Amino acid sequence: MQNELTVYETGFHLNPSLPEGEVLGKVTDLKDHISSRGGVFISEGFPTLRPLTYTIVKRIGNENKRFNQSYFGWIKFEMTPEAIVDFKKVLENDNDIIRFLIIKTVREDTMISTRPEFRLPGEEKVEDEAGQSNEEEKEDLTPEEEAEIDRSIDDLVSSTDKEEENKQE
Amino acid sequence: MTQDYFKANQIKNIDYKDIEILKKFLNPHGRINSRKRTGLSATHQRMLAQAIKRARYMALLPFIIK
Repeated sequence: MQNELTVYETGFHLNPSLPEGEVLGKVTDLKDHISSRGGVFISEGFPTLRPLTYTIVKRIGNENKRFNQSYFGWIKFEMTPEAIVDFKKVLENDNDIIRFLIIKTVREDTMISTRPEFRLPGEEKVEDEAGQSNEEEKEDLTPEEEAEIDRSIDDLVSSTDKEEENKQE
Repeated sequence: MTQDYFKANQIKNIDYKDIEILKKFLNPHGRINSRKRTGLSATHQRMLAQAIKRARYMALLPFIIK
């Protein structure tokens, strides 16, 4: 029972000041740490530079460093619950990892490739009717009507220009 | 007809990295919409809340939008 493998996923933010070449090395290091603890690699998302939605503060040495962007990546793997505690310490002690998260997950891919359209309950009909009515209005306009609308807009613009001139005087 | 987005689309697991889906269930201030508004089952609402909270911790989603 104790040696059963559990599927875990770790998401991590790498220091954005790392050169791009070293990012690959960092990921390889993490994979080595996993395999050295009896873990089995399943899948990964290679770290890409992305902005953060808020500033993350990480204490490195005696300094609080602030990060507004990072290389965000993830690795999915299988490991025993005993070994994951040890692996967590590795992530905690790595100063290039500004934040990480380890979660239990499933082997299957959980990212949805094609996102179905989403509507809040009760909004479906309202949106459809509104969309249709707008299209109908656009279709009904004849070239003469369009010209008339253009003329009225021009009039409005010229009248506002005159008002501004009067104010300046 | 079911109103549950995840049940209707046969989505069994909600991933915290899938922020485009999670964003649909937030209000303009970044708060999680209630079940009344999302139309989700209690199970899926709990899974959604956990995924959003994980995404917030990882700075993929904001805690608040001013």
